[in-house]
Amino acid sequence: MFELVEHTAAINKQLARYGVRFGIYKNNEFHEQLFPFDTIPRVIPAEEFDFLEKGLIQRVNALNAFLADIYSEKKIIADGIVPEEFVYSSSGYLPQCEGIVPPNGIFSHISGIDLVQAEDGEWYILEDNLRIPSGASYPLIARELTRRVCPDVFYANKIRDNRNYGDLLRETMEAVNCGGIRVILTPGRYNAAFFEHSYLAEKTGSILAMPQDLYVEDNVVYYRSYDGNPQRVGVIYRRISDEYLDPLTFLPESLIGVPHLMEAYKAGNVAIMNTPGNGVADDKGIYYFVPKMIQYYLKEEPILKNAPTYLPMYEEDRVYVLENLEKLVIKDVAEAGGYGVVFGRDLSAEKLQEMKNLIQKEPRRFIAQEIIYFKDLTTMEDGVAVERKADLRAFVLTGKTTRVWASGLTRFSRNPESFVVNSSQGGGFKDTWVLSR
Amino acid sequence: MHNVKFSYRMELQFSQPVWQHSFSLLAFPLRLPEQQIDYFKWSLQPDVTLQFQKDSFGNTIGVGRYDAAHTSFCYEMEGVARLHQQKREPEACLPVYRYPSAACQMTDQMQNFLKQCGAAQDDRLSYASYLMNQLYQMFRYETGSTSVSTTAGEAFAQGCGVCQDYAQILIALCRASGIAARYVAGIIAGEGVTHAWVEVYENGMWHGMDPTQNRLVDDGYLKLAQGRDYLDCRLNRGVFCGAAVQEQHVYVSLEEQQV
Repeated sequence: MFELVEHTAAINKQLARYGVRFGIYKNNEFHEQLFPFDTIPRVIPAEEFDFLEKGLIQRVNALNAFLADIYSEKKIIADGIVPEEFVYSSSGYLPQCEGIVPPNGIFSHISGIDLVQAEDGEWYILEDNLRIPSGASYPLIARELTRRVCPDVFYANKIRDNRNYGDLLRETMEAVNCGGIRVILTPGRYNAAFFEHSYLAEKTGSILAMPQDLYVEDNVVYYRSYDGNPQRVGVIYRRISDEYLDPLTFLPESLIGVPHLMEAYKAGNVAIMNTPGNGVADDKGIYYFVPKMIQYYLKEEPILKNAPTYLPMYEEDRVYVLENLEKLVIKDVAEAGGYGVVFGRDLSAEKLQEMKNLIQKEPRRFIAQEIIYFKDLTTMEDGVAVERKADLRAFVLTGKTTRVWASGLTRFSRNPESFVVNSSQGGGFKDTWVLSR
Repeated sequence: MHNVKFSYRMELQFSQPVWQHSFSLLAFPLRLPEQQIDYFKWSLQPDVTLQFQKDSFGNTIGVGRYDAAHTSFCYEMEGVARLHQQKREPEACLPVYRYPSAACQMTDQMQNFLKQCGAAQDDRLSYASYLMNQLYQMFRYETGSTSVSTTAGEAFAQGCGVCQDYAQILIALCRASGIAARYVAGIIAGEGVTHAWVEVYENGMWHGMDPTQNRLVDDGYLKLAQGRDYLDCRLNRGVFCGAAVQEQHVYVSLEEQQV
């Protein structure tokens, strides 16, 4: 696979031409950045992927069961497994979604589960993303371009084809379609992941719609097509976050929402993917309870491990966290995208004390985790092979059944000192090869 | 028990034509054991069909859409009700009513005030009414001093506000003291604008309190909507296209009916 290295520039040039980039806001200005692609893939052997697949399916099924329970009977709270304040004071919990049963009872259709492999080879779950996990399009297009440049590599190595993501996604959409066309709803070209929205629309044969292309009448969603004939919409894969989705139910100042979308959804006339309100299950605090959910709902032992996590709201954990802060990583529960992640060892004595005070004042706001020493992946940097930290986002799709895409987004940190691999923090990506045997 | 006649009229005037107007109306009186609706009629100008749903807080919500250009919009309703607080029945309490909501967050200043008020007592109902009294002593009613988007903390900091602010502050104080509380929008005896008050939960029942007037709710209060705070109880929400400035006029009345 090292023969791919010489094609790095050519593939990156093609990626740029296809518009593979993401936008970020810095100081209120919009900048588009290329997402650097490293040609040396992450390789996952077949047996290892089988193991991950089982664990991921189990985890996502439990998370779906949790969401169904929280927005209806709340048995897991009544039975004392999850403390109620974790649910009701989570910003991801939306009381407006109480009692709504989504089509086929599925809440998280597309789950992006972030994993890391430790130096000893053990995999750990880092976080669950059940709202709008992005990133599948990057390995998808990178594979396509790499195959074009270097087809031989794919004859020589037994690699599972990942170009079926569009089919998986289309089947997932069809599994909940309430009768109508399929739509991918994008906030527009200034969104960080606009490339992905348009690419997935093309790959699934769905309509790429801007908010103003959709309207609701008599609890039915319609798409305004170019010929002026409204087309009924049966399923919306929305890439707009919950609070902006419907200005008459959520934030009234939202200009990118579709008025009355929530009423159409409540009436059972349209499926929304993923379901609004999922944030309650991928909250960094709720993460702690996912292994317990697996035991509670599925009566199974968790296959994949969580990183050792402490909740300062529990007395015992708080004592440990305050004593060991300099060797832990602290995460602000409300932040996403690699923001609000602090390594205790990077803090000055003064900042460390400040953090301790903050944790004592607002214990619910933080979680602390043991640092996992990631297994480094070989990456090319200015023509030299170097070792860099990387994680893996696995895409798990739930339609008629739950399936794991045999690939994933491997992100690496370009800063050798950094453990934070988020693309919004300047990282790059790799293809993820799953071997077929 | 009171037999009352009530009415509500909400009129929007646009400075220029607007179109693609989507709206949600919540001004449909709740049907409750303590609030029997014997007669009810509503109308809309322009004439649009409404789709009705229940929201998560138990309110009836009517939604509709009017595409053609228009410069005014008017929702009107009237009815007859029998109001009888003693007929209230036990109800479940949504857990969210025990937690801070967007407009009902505690600030340091409010925490201090609560501390000065003294520890919560076992009898939560009398403690809530004590808090109401304490608030009434230090907070001043002043028309126009706040807007609909003023939060409990902002109103508390300036020391004056209207019924919405009294209600949201009391709700935040109650929840911080471990008492579940919710916001109510409705109509009280007399004529004028809509009113807001609070309900607190104790012994499986909701109990109405009117912090603006520092008194318990009696048979002169008609409930239109309930929720975590003002945001859940906006009686009229809408979005439209057009660069118009809108002016809203609301007129309500509630009077004892002669039998």
